[in-house]
Amino acid sequence: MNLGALGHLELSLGRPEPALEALGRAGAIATAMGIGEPAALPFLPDEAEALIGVGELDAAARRIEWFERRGTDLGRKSAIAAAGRCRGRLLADTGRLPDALDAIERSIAIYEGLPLPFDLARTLLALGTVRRRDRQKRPAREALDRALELFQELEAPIWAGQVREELSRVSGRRAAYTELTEAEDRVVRLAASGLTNREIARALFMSIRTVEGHLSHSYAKLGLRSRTELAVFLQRSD
Amino acid sequence: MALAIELFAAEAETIAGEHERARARLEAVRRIAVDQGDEPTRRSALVRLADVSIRDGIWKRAASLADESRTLAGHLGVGDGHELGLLAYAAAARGMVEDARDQAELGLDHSKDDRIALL
Repeated sequence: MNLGALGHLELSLGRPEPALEALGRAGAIATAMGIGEPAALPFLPDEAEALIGVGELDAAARRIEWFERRGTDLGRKSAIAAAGRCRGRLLADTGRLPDALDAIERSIAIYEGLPLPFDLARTLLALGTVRRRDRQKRPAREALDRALELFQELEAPIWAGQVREELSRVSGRRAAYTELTEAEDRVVRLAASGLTNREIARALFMSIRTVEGHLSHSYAKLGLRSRTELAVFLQRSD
Repeated sequence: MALAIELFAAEAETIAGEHERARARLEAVRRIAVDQGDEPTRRSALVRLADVSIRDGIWKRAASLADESRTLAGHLGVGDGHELGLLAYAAAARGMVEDARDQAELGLDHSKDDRIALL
Protein backbone atom coordinates (compact mmCIF):
# COMPACT_ATOMS: atom_id res chain seq x y z
CA MET A 1 0.00 0.00 0.00
CA ASN A 2 3.01 2.28 0.31
CA LEU A 3 3.41 3.17 -3.37
CA GLY A 4 -0.36 3.51 -3.61
CA ALA A 5 -0.44 5.85 -0.59
CA LEU A 6 2.41 7.96 -1.91
CA GLY A 7 0.80 8.22 -5.34
CA HIS A 8 -2.59 8.99 -3.86
CA LEU A 9 -1.09 11.78 -1.76
CA GLU A 10 0.63 13.41 -4.74
CA LEU A 11 -2.50 13.08 -6.87
CA SER A 12 -4.61 14.71 -4.17
CA LEU A 13 -2.12 17.60 -4.08
CA GLY A 14 -2.58 18.07 -7.83
CA ARG A 15 0.86 16.69 -8.72
CA PRO A 16 0.27 13.96 -11.34
CA GLU A 17 3.95 13.53 -12.32
CA PRO A 18 5.27 12.39 -8.92
CA ALA A 19 2.00 10.50 -8.44
CA LEU A 20 2.66 8.57 -11.63
CA GLU A 21 6.21 7.84 -10.58
CA ALA A 22 4.92 5.92 -7.54
CA LEU A 23 1.77 4.49 -9.11
CA GLY A 24 3.51 3.42 -12.32
CA ARG A 25 6.00 1.49 -10.21
CA ALA A 26 3.13 -0.15 -8.34
CA GLY A 27 1.45 -1.00 -11.65
CA ALA A 28 4.63 -2.60 -13.01
CA ILE A 29 5.03 -4.74 -9.88
CA ALA A 30 1.38 -5.84 -10.01
CA THR A 31 1.73 -6.75 -13.69
CA ALA A 32 4.91 -8.72 -13.01
CA MET A 33 3.12 -10.57 -10.20
CA GLY A 34 0.19 -11.35 -12.51
CA ILE A 35 -2.42 -9.98 -10.09
CA GLY A 36 -5.81 -10.12 -11.82
CA GLU A 37 -8.05 -9.18 -8.90
CA PRO A 38 -9.00 -5.50 -9.23
CA ALA A 39 -9.99 -5.28 -5.57
CA ALA A 40 -6.37 -6.06 -4.70
CA LEU A 41 -5.23 -3.11 -6.81
CA PRO A 42 -7.00 -0.08 -5.35
CA PHE A 43 -4.27 2.22 -6.66
CA LEU A 44 -5.10 1.52 -10.32
CA PRO A 45 -7.81 4.22 -10.66
CA ASP A 46 -5.35 6.73 -9.20
CA GLU A 47 -2.76 5.58 -11.72
CA ALA A 48 -5.24 6.09 -14.55
CA GLU A 49 -6.08 9.60 -13.27
CA ALA A 50 -2.37 10.43 -12.97
CA LEU A 51 -1.84 9.24 -16.57
CA ILE A 52 -4.67 11.53 -17.68
CA GLY A 53 -3.07 14.33 -15.67
CA VAL A 54 0.22 14.03 -17.54
CA GLY A 55 -1.50 13.62 -20.92
CA GLU A 56 -0.74 9.93 -21.46
CA LEU A 57 -4.27 9.27 -22.60
CA ASP A 58 -3.71 6.01 -24.51
CA ALA A 59 -2.00 4.44 -21.53
CA ALA A 60 -4.82 5.69 -19.29
CA ALA A 61 -7.40 4.18 -21.63
CA ARG A 62 -5.64 0.81 -21.50
CA ARG A 63 -5.55 0.88 -17.70
CA ILE A 64 -9.23 1.78 -17.48
CA GLU A 65 -10.26 -0.91 -19.97
CA TRP A 66 -8.36 -3.58 -18.07
CA PHE A 67 -9.82 -2.52 -14.74
CA GLU A 68 -13.35 -2.34 -16.13
CA ARG A 69 -13.06 -5.72 -17.87
CA ARG A 70 -11.71 -7.47 -14.79
CA GLY A 71 -14.34 -5.76 -12.63
CA THR A 72 -17.08 -6.97 -14.95
CA ASP A 73 -15.68 -10.51 -15.23
CA LEU A 74 -15.40 -10.88 -11.46
CA GLY A 75 -18.52 -8.89 -10.54
CA ARG A 76 -16.58 -6.21 -8.64
CA LYS A 77 -18.91 -3.24 -8.53
CA SER A 78 -16.33 -0.97 -6.92
CA ALA A 79 -13.91 -1.58 -9.80
CA ILE A 80 -16.61 -0.92 -12.40
CA ALA A 81 -17.56 2.31 -10.61
CA ALA A 82 -13.95 3.50 -10.31
CA ALA A 83 -13.33 2.69 -13.97
CA GLY A 84 -16.44 4.71 -14.84
CA ARG A 85 -15.13 7.78 -13.03
CA CYS A 86 -11.75 7.46 -14.73
CA ARG A 87 -13.39 6.95 -18.12
CA GLY A 88 -15.45 10.07 -17.53
CA ARG A 89 -12.32 12.06 -16.76
CA LEU A 90 -10.63 10.68 -19.86
CA LEU A 91 -13.60 11.50 -22.10
CA ALA A 92 -13.80 14.99 -20.63
CA ASP A 93 -10.11 15.48 -21.35
CA THR A 94 -10.78 14.77 -25.02
CA GLY A 95 -13.74 17.18 -25.07
CA ARG A 96 -16.50 14.57 -25.16
CA LEU A 97 -18.44 16.11 -22.31
CA PRO A 98 -21.87 14.41 -22.76
CA ASP A 99 -20.22 10.97 -22.89
CA ALA A 100 -18.09 11.92 -19.90
CA LEU A 101 -21.14 12.94 -17.91
CA ASP A 102 -22.88 9.72 -18.83
CA ALA A 103 -19.92 7.61 -17.61
CA ILE A 104 -19.60 9.55 -14.36
CA GLU A 105 -23.32 9.49 -13.62
CA ARG A 106 -23.37 5.71 -14.10
CA SER A 107 -20.39 5.45 -11.76
CA ILE A 108 -22.21 7.49 -9.11
CA ALA A 109 -25.29 5.29 -9.40
CA ILE A 110 -23.09 2.29 -8.51
CA TYR A 111 -21.28 4.08 -5.68
CA GLU A 112 -24.61 5.10 -4.13
CA GLY A 113 -25.16 1.41 -3.32
CA LEU A 114 -21.66 0.77 -1.95
CA PRO A 115 -20.13 1.63 1.43
CA LEU A 116 -17.39 3.73 -0.19
CA PRO A 117 -18.17 7.36 0.73
CA PHE A 118 -14.71 8.68 -0.14
CA ASP A 119 -14.91 7.27 -3.66
CA LEU A 120 -18.44 8.59 -4.02
CA ALA A 121 -17.24 12.07 -3.02
CA ARG A 122 -14.37 11.90 -5.53
CA THR A 123 -16.81 10.94 -8.24
CA LEU A 124 -19.17 13.78 -7.32
CA LEU A 125 -16.18 16.12 -7.60
CA ALA A 126 -15.52 14.74 -11.08
CA LEU A 127 -19.20 15.20 -11.96
CA GLY A 128 -19.20 18.80 -10.75
CA THR A 129 -16.03 19.55 -12.69
CA VAL A 130 -17.36 18.16 -15.96
CA ARG A 131 -20.75 19.83 -15.50
CA ARG A 132 -18.98 23.14 -14.89
CA ARG A 133 -17.00 22.67 -18.10
CA ASP A 134 -20.28 21.86 -19.87
CA ARG A 135 -21.63 25.20 -18.54
CA GLN A 136 -24.22 23.53 -16.33
CA LYS A 137 -23.68 25.90 -13.45
CA ARG A 138 -26.45 24.91 -11.09
CA PRO A 139 -26.10 21.12 -11.50
CA ALA A 140 -22.35 21.56 -11.12
CA ARG A 141 -22.81 23.40 -7.84
CA GLU A 142 -25.23 20.74 -6.59
CA ALA A 143 -22.72 17.95 -7.22
CA LEU A 144 -19.88 19.96 -5.72
CA ASP A 145 -21.85 20.94 -2.62
CA ARG A 146 -22.59 17.30 -1.96
CA ALA A 147 -18.94 16.36 -2.57
CA LEU A 148 -17.82 19.06 -0.14
CA GLU A 149 -20.24 17.89 2.51
CA LEU A 150 -18.98 14.32 2.20
CA PHE A 151 -15.29 15.29 2.25
CA GLN A 152 -15.90 17.44 5.31
CA GLU A 153 -17.75 14.63 7.07
CA LEU A 154 -14.87 12.32 6.21
CA GLU A 155 -12.34 14.89 7.41
CA ALA A 156 -10.47 14.86 4.11
CA PRO A 157 -9.24 18.49 3.94
CA ILE A 158 -7.11 18.27 0.81
CA TRP A 159 -10.01 16.94 -1.22
CA ALA A 160 -12.39 19.42 0.38
CA GLY A 161 -9.95 22.11 -0.79
CA GLN A 162 -10.14 20.78 -4.36
CA VAL A 163 -13.93 21.02 -4.24
CA ARG A 164 -13.76 24.59 -2.93
CA GLU A 165 -11.46 25.56 -5.82
CA GLU A 166 -13.90 24.01 -8.25
CA LEU A 167 -16.82 25.81 -6.59
CA SER A 168 -14.97 29.11 -6.92
CA ARG A 169 -14.65 28.44 -10.68
CA VAL A 170 -18.38 27.78 -10.92
CA SER A 171 -19.22 31.03 -9.18
CA GLY A 172 -16.56 32.94 -11.10
CA ARG A 173 -14.79 34.09 -7.97
CA ARG A 174 -11.78 32.70 -6.18
CA ALA A 175 -12.01 31.60 -2.58
CA ALA A 176 -12.48 34.60 -0.38
CA TYR A 177 -9.07 34.76 1.27
CA THR A 178 -8.68 38.42 0.32
CA GLU A 179 -11.85 39.16 2.27
CA LEU A 180 -10.12 38.52 5.59
CA THR A 181 -9.24 41.55 7.64
CA GLU A 182 -5.61 42.15 8.62
CA ALA A 183 -6.26 40.90 12.15
CA GLU A 184 -8.06 37.78 10.87
CA ASP A 185 -5.18 37.11 8.51
CA ARG A 186 -2.64 37.26 11.36
CA VAL A 187 -4.76 34.97 13.53
CA VAL A 188 -5.40 32.33 10.86
CA ARG A 189 -1.73 32.15 9.91
CA LEU A 190 -0.71 31.54 13.52
CA ALA A 191 -3.52 29.01 13.94
CA ALA A 192 -2.43 27.19 10.79
CA SER A 193 1.15 27.09 12.09
CA GLY A 194 -0.10 25.02 15.03
CA LEU A 195 -0.42 27.60 17.81
CA THR A 196 -3.28 27.22 20.30
CA ASN A 197 -5.81 30.01 20.80
CA ARG A 198 -4.11 30.91 24.09
CA GLU A 199 -0.69 31.14 22.38
CA ILE A 200 -2.13 33.27 19.56
CA ALA A 201 -3.77 35.55 22.10
CA ARG A 202 -0.47 35.98 23.89
CA ALA A 203 1.48 36.57 20.66
CA LEU A 204 -0.95 39.18 19.31
CA PHE A 205 -1.86 40.83 22.64
CA MET A 206 -5.54 39.91 22.25
CA SER A 207 -8.03 38.15 24.48
CA ILE A 208 -8.74 34.50 23.79
CA ARG A 209 -12.32 35.45 23.02
CA THR A 210 -11.12 37.88 20.30
CA VAL A 211 -8.97 35.13 18.79
CA GLU A 212 -11.94 32.78 18.77
CA GLY A 213 -14.06 35.46 17.12
CA HIS A 214 -11.49 36.11 14.38
CA LEU A 215 -11.14 32.39 13.75
CA SER A 216 -14.86 31.72 13.49
CA HIS A 217 -15.36 34.70 11.15
CA SER A 218 -12.45 33.51 9.01
CA TYR A 219 -13.75 29.94 8.86
CA ALA A 220 -17.15 31.26 7.77
CA LYS A 221 -15.64 33.49 5.06
CA LEU A 222 -13.43 30.71 3.73
CA GLY A 223 -15.98 27.90 4.15
CA LEU A 224 -13.63 25.92 6.39
CA ARG A 225 -14.32 23.86 9.48
CA SER A 226 -11.02 23.05 11.16
CA ARG A 227 -7.40 24.04 11.66
CA THR A 228 -6.29 21.21 9.39
CA GLU A 229 -8.51 22.52 6.59
CA LEU A 230 -7.14 25.98 7.25
CA ALA A 231 -3.52 24.79 7.03
CA VAL A 232 -4.20 23.00 3.74
CA PHE A 233 -6.07 26.04 2.39
CA LEU A 234 -3.18 28.38 3.18
CA GLN A 235 -0.64 25.93 1.74
CA ARG A 236 -2.55 25.92 -1.54
CA SER A 237 -3.13 29.71 -1.53
CA ASP A 238 0.49 30.79 -0.86
CA MET B 1 -13.72 -21.54 14.83
CA ALA B 2 -11.03 -21.99 12.18
CA LEU B 3 -9.55 -18.52 12.27
CA ALA B 4 -7.71 -18.79 8.96
CA ILE B 5 -10.99 -19.57 7.19
CA GLU B 6 -12.70 -16.68 8.97
CA LEU B 7 -9.96 -14.32 7.80
CA PHE B 8 -10.38 -15.57 4.26
CA ALA B 9 -14.16 -15.09 4.46
CA ALA B 10 -13.70 -11.55 5.79
CA GLU B 11 -11.38 -10.78 2.90
CA ALA B 12 -14.02 -11.98 0.44
CA GLU B 13 -16.69 -9.88 2.18
CA THR B 14 -14.45 -6.82 2.06
CA ILE B 15 -13.89 -7.28 -1.66
CA ALA B 16 -17.64 -7.71 -2.18
CA GLY B 17 -18.30 -4.44 -0.33
CA GLU B 18 -19.93 -6.14 2.65
CA HIS B 19 -17.91 -4.14 5.12
CA GLU B 20 -20.17 -4.51 8.15
CA ARG B 21 -20.11 -8.28 7.93
CA ALA B 22 -16.37 -8.28 7.36
CA ARG B 23 -15.82 -6.00 10.34
CA ALA B 24 -17.99 -8.13 12.64
CA ARG B 25 -16.17 -11.28 11.56
CA LEU B 26 -12.76 -9.68 11.99
CA GLU B 27 -13.63 -8.31 15.44
CA ALA B 28 -14.66 -11.84 16.46
CA VAL B 29 -11.38 -13.26 15.12
CA ARG B 30 -9.46 -10.54 16.93
CA ARG B 31 -11.17 -11.34 20.27
CA ILE B 32 -10.56 -15.07 19.94
CA ALA B 33 -6.95 -14.49 18.90
CA VAL B 34 -6.41 -12.32 22.00
CA ASP B 35 -8.00 -15.00 24.23
CA GLN B 36 -5.83 -17.71 22.68
CA GLY B 37 -2.68 -15.60 22.70
CA ASP B 38 -2.47 -16.10 18.93
CA GLU B 39 -0.63 -12.91 18.04
CA PRO B 40 0.00 -13.57 14.30
CA THR B 41 -3.76 -14.05 13.78
CA ARG B 42 -4.53 -10.99 15.90
CA ARG B 43 -2.18 -9.01 13.66
CA SER B 44 -3.86 -10.34 10.49
CA ALA B 45 -7.26 -9.31 11.86
CA LEU B 46 -5.97 -5.84 12.79
CA VAL B 47 -4.48 -5.22 9.33
CA ARG B 48 -7.72 -6.27 7.66
CA LEU B 49 -9.81 -4.17 10.04
CA ALA B 50 -7.62 -1.17 9.23
CA ASP B 51 -8.11 -1.85 5.54
CA VAL B 52 -11.90 -1.95 5.94
CA SER B 53 -11.76 1.33 7.89
CA ILE B 54 -9.77 2.94 5.07
CA ARG B 55 -12.43 1.83 2.58
CA ASP B 56 -15.11 3.26 4.90
CA GLY B 57 -13.22 6.54 5.15
CA ILE B 58 -12.77 6.25 8.93
CA TRP B 59 -9.16 7.38 8.92
CA LYS B 60 -8.55 7.78 12.65
CA ARG B 61 -9.80 4.28 13.37
CA ALA B 62 -7.71 2.90 10.51
CA ALA B 63 -4.63 4.64 11.89
CA SER B 64 -5.27 3.40 15.42
CA LEU B 65 -5.72 -0.22 14.24
CA ALA B 66 -2.62 -0.02 12.04
CA ASP B 67 -0.65 1.41 14.96
CA GLU B 68 -1.73 -1.45 17.22
CA SER B 69 -0.80 -3.93 14.50
CA ARG B 70 2.56 -2.25 13.98
CA THR B 71 3.41 -2.62 17.65
CA LEU B 72 2.45 -6.28 17.42
CA ALA B 73 4.60 -6.74 14.30
CA GLY B 74 7.51 -5.34 16.31
CA HIS B 75 6.91 -7.91 19.08
CA LEU B 76 6.66 -10.68 16.51
CA GLY B 77 9.80 -9.55 14.71
CA VAL B 78 8.05 -9.38 11.33
CA GLY B 79 7.94 -6.61 8.72
CA ASP B 80 5.54 -3.73 9.22
CA GLY B 81 5.29 -2.55 5.61
CA HIS B 82 1.54 -3.18 5.39
CA GLU B 83 0.86 -1.18 8.53
CA LEU B 84 3.01 1.73 7.38
CA GLY B 85 1.17 1.81 4.05
CA LEU B 86 -2.17 1.97 5.88
CA LEU B 87 -0.89 4.70 8.19
CA ALA B 88 0.41 6.66 5.19
CA TYR B 89 -2.91 6.39 3.36
CA ALA B 90 -4.89 7.47 6.45
CA ALA B 91 -2.53 10.42 7.03
CA ALA B 92 -2.77 11.47 3.37
CA ALA B 93 -6.56 11.45 3.52
CA ARG B 94 -6.50 13.54 6.72
CA GLY B 95 -4.27 16.16 5.08
CA MET B 96 -1.21 15.27 7.17
CA VAL B 97 1.09 15.60 4.20
CA GLU B 98 4.49 15.29 5.85
CA ASP B 99 3.40 12.39 8.06
CA ALA B 100 1.99 10.60 5.03
CA ARG B 101 5.22 11.05 3.07
CA ASP B 102 7.41 9.95 5.98
CA GLN B 103 5.31 6.86 6.67
CA ALA B 104 5.12 5.83 3.02
CA GLU B 105 8.89 6.31 2.57
CA LEU B 106 9.56 4.25 5.69
CA GLY B 107 7.01 1.72 4.48
CA LEU B 108 8.83 1.37 1.16
CA ASP B 109 12.04 0.79 3.05
CA HIS B 110 10.39 -1.85 5.25
CA SER B 111 8.68 -3.60 2.33
CA LYS B 112 11.73 -4.61 0.34
CA ASP B 113 10.99 -8.31 0.83
CA ASP B 114 7.21 -7.97 0.53
CA ARG B 115 5.97 -6.88 -2.88
CA ILE B 116 2.33 -6.83 -1.80
CA ALA B 117 3.15 -4.34 0.97
CA LEU B 118 4.99 -2.25 -1.62
CA LEU B 119 1.86 -1.84 -3.73
